[in-house]
Amino acid sequence: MGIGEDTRSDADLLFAFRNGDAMALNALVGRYQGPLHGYLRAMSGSAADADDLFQETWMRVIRNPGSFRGGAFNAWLWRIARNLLIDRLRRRKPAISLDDMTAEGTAYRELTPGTEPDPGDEVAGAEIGRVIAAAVTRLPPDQRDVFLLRTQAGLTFAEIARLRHVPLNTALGRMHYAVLRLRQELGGMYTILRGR
Amino acid sequence: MKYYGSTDRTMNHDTDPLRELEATSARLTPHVRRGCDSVPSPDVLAAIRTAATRQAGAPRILPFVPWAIAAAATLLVLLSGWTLFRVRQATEVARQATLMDDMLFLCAEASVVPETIAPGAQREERARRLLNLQGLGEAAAPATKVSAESEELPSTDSQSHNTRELQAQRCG
Repeated sequence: MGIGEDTRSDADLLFAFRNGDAMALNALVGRYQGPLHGYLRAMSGSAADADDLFQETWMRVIRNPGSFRGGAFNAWLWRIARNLLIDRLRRRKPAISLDDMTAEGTAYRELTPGTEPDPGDEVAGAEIGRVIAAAVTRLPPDQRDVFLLRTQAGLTFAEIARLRHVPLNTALGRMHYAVLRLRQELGGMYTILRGR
Repeated sequence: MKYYGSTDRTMNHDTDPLRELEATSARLTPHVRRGCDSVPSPDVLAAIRTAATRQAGAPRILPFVPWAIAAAATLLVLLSGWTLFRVRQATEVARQATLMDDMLFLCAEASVVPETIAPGAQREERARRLLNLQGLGEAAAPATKVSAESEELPSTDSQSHNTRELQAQRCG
């Protein structure tokens, strides 16, 4: 998707799309495709589900850009995505547990894409990122959601509280526990991160 | 939650927990993004691009147009109704006025009215109209007859006399 270096704000791009500029929407998709798809993938646990949800989210944006009433575009975008995600998770009954074993004797958790470090990855930064990503997938869903909404979507805690319909203190508390848990999971690596 | 409860007496006032949490988030964000960001499949991106192009090229209805059409239609209906009401009202008023005028005229004629008030032909016409309005078909015939005869008579005095007799009967 032609991302380009469009310096217009999100709201300006959406307004331009409403006025018939398809490239403006492409720029928006390019701007958010990584974090949004990553969030959906981490929350749904499936690349295929993430693809479906990602596409449906943008289809909603395309069909009804007028429902954006100002404010933070990313909060609006993640609200759409999150509602679709919740609908999907409600419909999907967990037929198997991630801890169940396949016929080959491998746990389904091991097959979940993006949760383990890539052995061939020699870039230290990417390695740390993958370790964090793996640790994030092991967070309880509520904590994982708040953590990703803050770090990946870039929402403020107030926006997260509004989005999740919880008090601000609850959102802060979940983030706090998520960070504590990550600190335990990452061990010495977390100390390195703090030093950076 | 120990840190964030407003009534929590164990809260450490030396450090701002929210600021600390924000700082931790900021430190972790690039690593999380590097590790968690993922790319959708090319098919998905192509589908989105196609839908965006199609939607952008589709004709758009300006948001105020439906409202303007609805308002114009409502105004048209109201104006039509009001006009119809006014026309019917005016017709009725005119009919009543004519009838009243004729009644007054005839009653005045039955009494003593100077000949100069109205010429003979006009009086005949008004009398005939009144009788027709009242649905007096049988009475209209003599009036017509009188009118027909009056055309042959050189003077309008006898015509006026006949009409006056007839009108006097009707007025009692």
